[in-house]
Amino acid sequence: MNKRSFLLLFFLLLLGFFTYFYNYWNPPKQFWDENYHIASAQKYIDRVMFMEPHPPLGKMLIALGEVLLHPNKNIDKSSFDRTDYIKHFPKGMSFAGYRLFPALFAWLNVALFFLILYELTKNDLLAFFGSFLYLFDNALIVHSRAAMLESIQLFFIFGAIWWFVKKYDSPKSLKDYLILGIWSGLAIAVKANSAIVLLLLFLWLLKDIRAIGVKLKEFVGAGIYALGAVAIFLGVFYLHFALGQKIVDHRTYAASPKYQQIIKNHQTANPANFLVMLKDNLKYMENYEKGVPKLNLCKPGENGSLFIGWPLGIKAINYRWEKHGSQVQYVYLQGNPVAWMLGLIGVVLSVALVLAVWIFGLPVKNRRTFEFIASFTFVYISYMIAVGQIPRVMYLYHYFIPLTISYILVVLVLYYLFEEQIKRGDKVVWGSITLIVAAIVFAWWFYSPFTYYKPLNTEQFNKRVWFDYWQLKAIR
Amino acid sequence: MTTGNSKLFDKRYGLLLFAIALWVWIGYSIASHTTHHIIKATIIQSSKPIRSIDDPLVPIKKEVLWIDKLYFPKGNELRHPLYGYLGYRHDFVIFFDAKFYLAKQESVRFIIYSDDGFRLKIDGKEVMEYPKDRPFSKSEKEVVLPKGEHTLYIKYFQGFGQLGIVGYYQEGSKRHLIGQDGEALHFEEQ
Repeated sequence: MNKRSFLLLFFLLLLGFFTYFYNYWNPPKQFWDENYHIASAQKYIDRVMFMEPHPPLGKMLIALGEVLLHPNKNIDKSSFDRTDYIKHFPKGMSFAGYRLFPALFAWLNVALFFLILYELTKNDLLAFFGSFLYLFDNALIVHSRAAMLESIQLFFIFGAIWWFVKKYDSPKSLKDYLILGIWSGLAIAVKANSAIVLLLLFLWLLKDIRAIGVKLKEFVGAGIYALGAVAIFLGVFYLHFALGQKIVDHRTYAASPKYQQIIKNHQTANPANFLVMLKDNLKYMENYEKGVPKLNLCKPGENGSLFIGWPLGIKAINYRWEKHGSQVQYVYLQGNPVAWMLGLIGVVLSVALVLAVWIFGLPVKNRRTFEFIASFTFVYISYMIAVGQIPRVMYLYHYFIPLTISYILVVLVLYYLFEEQIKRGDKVVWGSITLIVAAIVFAWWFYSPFTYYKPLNTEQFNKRVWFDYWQLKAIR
Repeated sequence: MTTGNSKLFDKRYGLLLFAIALWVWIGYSIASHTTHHIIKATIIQSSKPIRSIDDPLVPIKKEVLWIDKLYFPKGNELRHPLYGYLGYRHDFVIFFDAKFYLAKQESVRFIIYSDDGFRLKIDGKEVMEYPKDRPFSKSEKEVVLPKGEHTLYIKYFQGFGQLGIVGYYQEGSKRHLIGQDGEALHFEEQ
C-alpha cells in the first residue's frame, strides 16, 4: 500500500468512528440480547461459574470492556450473577464498558474490510468506495453498538478472509496455515456459525491442488490449520473454566457432581480437569439448543424470520422504543436498503457469471477475480444452505456473515466488469460509482433515526416503510 | 436481414443508468410513502360507552393522523392503508376535516359506508347523518355546490363490534374516494 492508500484508510477510520463508535453508550438502556450477554459477562468479572449456548470469547471481551472502563464501580451488580437474563438493570448503570469491545471491533472492521477489498482488487480507491457498503449499513451499525457478539465475530471472520485473500496466490508456508487457523479459531470461539470460515481452508487447498497437485505439504498445512483453530477454541474454553470459580445460589447449570467437586476444590484452572468441564459445557450447549423454540410465523410479534427472506431484509426487529408525545425513538434492526439491494444484485450476478462460465463456457476475462467470485459465491451459498437446515428460530442478524460476503461480491463483480475502465480512471464509470456510493450514504442518513435512537413521528416513520415485507411497524 | 452487435452497447452507460435508476428508486420510494396532508383525522378514545353520534365522551386518548383518503375498511380494528392497524376497536369517535376546491358549480353525490354512525357537514351545514349504531351500511345524499373553496367535516363514531368508514363522492357517473381528486373537485393540501 502506498501513502494514498494509508490516507484513504485513515479517512475511512475517521468516518467509521462517527458511524460505529461515537456515542455508542447511548441509549443507556438495554436492548435485545444484552440482558443475556451482560449477565454472562458479569459472571466472568465476579468469577462465577456458568454455562451458556455460545462459545465464551465474545462475552469475555464484553466483560473485559467493563473491567477496563469500570464505569459502574459504585453500582451493585451482584444480582447479575444470580440470573441468566437481567430483567431490571440498576438505575444509572452505564453501558460504556460492556459495549466497548463490540463497538470497537465494529469500528476496526472498517479497516479490515478495506484491506480485504484492497487485496482483492489492488485498487485503493475502489476498496475505499467499496468499504462504504460496510461503513454505512444501518443494520450492522445498530447491532454492533450493543453488548452483542456479532461485531466481534465479524472482526475475526474478516481477519480470516483478509489472510485468505492475501496469501491466496502465493506459496503458503505452515505459518500461513497456522495464522488462518488462529483467525478461524477466534471466530468460532465467539459464535458457532463462524464455522463457515473452515471453507477458506478448503478453498486454499483446492487452489494449491490445482496449481501443484496433491502434495504432503497441503496435508501438513491443513493439520497445522486445525491445530491453530482447535488450540484457540480450547484455550478460550480453558479460560472460561478457569474464571468460573464459584457456584452462586446453587446455580450449577446441570454440571456433573465431578465438575461441582472441581469447583469446590478450586481446581477449575487445573488442565487435568479440562475434559470433565468441557464435556459438561458441550452437553449443556446441546441441550440448550434443543430447548430454543422453532420459528412460528403465525405467532403475533414473532421476531424470527426465514433465511430465504434475509437478502430482502425480512424481517426488521424493533429492539427498543421510547415514546415522548407524538415522537418515538427507536433502535430498529433495519438494513440500509440501497446497500442490501446492491448485495443481492452482487450475489445474483456472481451466480450468473459462475454458471455462464461453467455451463455455457463463457470465456473468463480475469482468472484471479473470477476465482474469488466463485469462491465467495460458494461460501455465501454454503452458509445459506447450512442455516436453512437449522430448526431453531433464527433472526435477521444471522445474515450478517453472508451479507458482508455479498458486499465483497458487489465490488468483485464491478471490478470484473469494468477492470480496464477503473484502472484508467474512466469518468463515466467512476462517476457512476460515485453516484452509487452517494446513494448508500443518503440511505444510511435517511434510515439513521432507526440506528441512533432519533425521534420520529408516525408520518416520518411511514416514509421509511418502502416495503411491507420488512414488517417495520410504527409505535403510536 | 437485420443483424445486431452487442458490442455496440457501451456497458459503461449501463452502469451509469443503473446508478441513476438507484436514485430514481430512492426518490420514488420516499415520495410514494410520504403522507399528504389532505384529511385531518382526530381520533378520540372514550372510556365511556358510545351508542349514538352525540353521546358525551370521556376522552382517555387523543391522536391526530393525516390521511390521503377516507378509507377505513370494515373489520374488528380500525385500519388505514397508510398506517396499518391502529389499535382502536370500540368506543371512539373520529373527526375528519378537509378542504376542497370546486372548479365549477355542480351536483355532487356523497356516499358514506359506515359502521357505526356518522354526520357529514359541508361548509358547516349538515348534509346527512346516521346518528345510531348499525352494521356496515350505505348512506348517500346529493348536493349542489357552487364554484369555489369548501370545507368538509365528518364525525364518525364506533360503539362496539365491527367497525369501518369509507367515503366517496360522485361527479356525474364517476366515483372517487373522499380525499382523491375528481374532474372538477380538487382536495387541498393543508
